[in-house]
Amino acid sequence: MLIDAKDTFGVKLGPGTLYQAIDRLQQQGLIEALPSTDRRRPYRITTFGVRELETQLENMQRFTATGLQRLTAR
Amino acid sequence: MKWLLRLYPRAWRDRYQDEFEAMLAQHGVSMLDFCNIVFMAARTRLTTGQRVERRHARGAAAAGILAVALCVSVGSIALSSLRGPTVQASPAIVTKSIIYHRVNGHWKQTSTLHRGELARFTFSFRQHGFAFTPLHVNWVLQHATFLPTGTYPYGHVVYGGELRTIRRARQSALFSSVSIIPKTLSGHFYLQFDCYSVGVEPPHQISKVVNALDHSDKRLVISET
Repeated sequence: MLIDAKDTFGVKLGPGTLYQAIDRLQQQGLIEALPSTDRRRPYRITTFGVRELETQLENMQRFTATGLQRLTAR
Repeated sequence: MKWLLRLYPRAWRDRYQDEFEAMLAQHGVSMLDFCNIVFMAARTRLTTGQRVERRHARGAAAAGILAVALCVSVGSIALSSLRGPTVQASPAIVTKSIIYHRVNGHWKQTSTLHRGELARFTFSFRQHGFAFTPLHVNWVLQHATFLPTGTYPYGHVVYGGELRTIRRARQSALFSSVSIIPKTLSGHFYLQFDCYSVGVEPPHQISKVVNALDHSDKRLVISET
């Protein structure tokens, strides 16, 4: 997840920051832990998390579109 | 790295320690990661509001302070070698700040900072090229005492406004500690002076004698620009 964040978005997440986010997302019911056979634990997004993410992304998309539109109009 | 994870609350460790250790073993721990873990552990303790053993709280606070001091030192050395003086003149810089603290039930003026002192600080910084100045030592001493005990070495601080509880004050002190790094890197280290007086509400008699008060951060600071 740390590597993915860095490669995809250029953001270097600290391990403490990552686990604080995981803890918060779990508490909000946006992700859930899956059973694991080794020490590493996979997580998956919940149905509620998918809905929330869709809403957030749509908002961001509207925001970006409006920003680009206004820049073009200058 | 187990000792580092002990900075986290027990409930957090019970839940995440195994996978967290596995991740650290896989990716390794850089100095930045170390600082990140220490800060997040302290923040987790503060924000979860769990009752922790005093010994561990003090350990976390001391480790946090040392990590901040280390980051400040490394950042300052890099900055002084790359950009010269850390403190730069700016329209926002205060020429004089007077800070009061409550000492044994009485309000006393504990420090007065003038532009000249800031200039001397800049000069010594540049001349010696040494990042961990007496100012840093003083700052570390004050916060190392304040975080676990809620008092500064030279007197008790009364909090008002939004900072009514020691817990909130500790959070504020911790966040001001964290924010020193970007301030240092952005060349605005002088703002750290103001962090000493966080949350102080002026008593009536002092309100009478001051010319102007800056309440923006609930500080009792007289600034003359």
